[in-house]
Amino acid sequence: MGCLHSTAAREFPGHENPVKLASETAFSVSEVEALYELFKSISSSVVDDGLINKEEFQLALFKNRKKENLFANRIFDLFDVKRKGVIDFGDFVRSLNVFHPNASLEEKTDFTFRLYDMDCTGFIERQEVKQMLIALLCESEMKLADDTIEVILDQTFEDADVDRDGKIGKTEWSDFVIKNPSLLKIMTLPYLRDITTTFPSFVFNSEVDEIAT
Amino acid sequence: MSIEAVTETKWFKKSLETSEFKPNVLESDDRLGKLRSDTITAFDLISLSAGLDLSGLFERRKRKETRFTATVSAEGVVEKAKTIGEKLGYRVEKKKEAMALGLGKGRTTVMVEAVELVEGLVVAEVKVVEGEEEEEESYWSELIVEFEEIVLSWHSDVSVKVESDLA
Repeated sequence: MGCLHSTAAREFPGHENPVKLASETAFSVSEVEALYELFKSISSSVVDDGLINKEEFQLALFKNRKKENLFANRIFDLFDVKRKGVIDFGDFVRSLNVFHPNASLEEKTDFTFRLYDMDCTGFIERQEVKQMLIALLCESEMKLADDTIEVILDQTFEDADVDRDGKIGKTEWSDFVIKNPSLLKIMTLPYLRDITTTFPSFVFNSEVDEIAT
Repeated sequence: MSIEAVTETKWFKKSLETSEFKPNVLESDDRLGKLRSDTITAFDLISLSAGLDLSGLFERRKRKETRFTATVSAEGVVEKAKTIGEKLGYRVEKKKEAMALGLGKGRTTVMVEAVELVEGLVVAEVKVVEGEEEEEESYWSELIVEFEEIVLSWHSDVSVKVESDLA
């Protein structure tokens, strides 16, 4: 059956319905359509199959399909909601939703927790933080003395690991982020507010908006 | 400059502000500015990773930017940037933030920013925040080469080498 809306919006064969995605996220239907333009260009860049694989993700992010990066891998894994090794359009929209300026602090905090909990144990262990810190230093060829690394780790856990069990749990992470809001800076993409200007889909496709106005 | 003195600067205090902002081009990606060296945590550093900067997904091409560890203090970096800017005919704009400088020429704007992460470790970032492709190409190579003498090491993850390294 369907109401007037859904038959008037663009259909994306093989992908989730934009009206449904809009209803579940902070994006409007025309913003979802704009994201589809972006998705199409990324997902066809190496293999034209309507899905974003790891190489295509790397190409989009770094403009270099071969560039491997620990953190980009984590992001990719989190976007790959169904654990299929590829990101489909629904995954793409729902994941980017967390980066929307209007998404909740809670959603952003939860995303970063899962991001940094690399081995998915439900805790961010000191060893994991050390590994990530070293990866960052390597990738940027920034040099820090071993003692300095330990001091930074000590400082971090002093701040975040309130019950002193050597690992950061979800609640500790939430509290820590509230004290250090700049840690969520990476979780907001102002671009998402202007997405329809950056990726305009053609006028004759946005029938929902025409009906509304 | 002692760590305490650095944390008293307006620039570090800015790190306490939360993220809602209308992006002013020269404040747009102030990742370095968020670091306070007395309370720096591992996550502040980890957040600098290029892999966590998804803005690349929305940009058709990579804007020129580079980061390096400096052989001079943060003030030294800014001073050097000012000298270079003047030498190459840029308009120099001292920013409200202590260790930041804007350089403008033609339709291109470059931000230079420096911070002392921990005592003795100064990291600087040079990045094109506005400009069009052809102008950016030629201005960039000429600009970057001038910084060499205060560079201890370039940070390769964000560096755009002077020779193109496209896949």
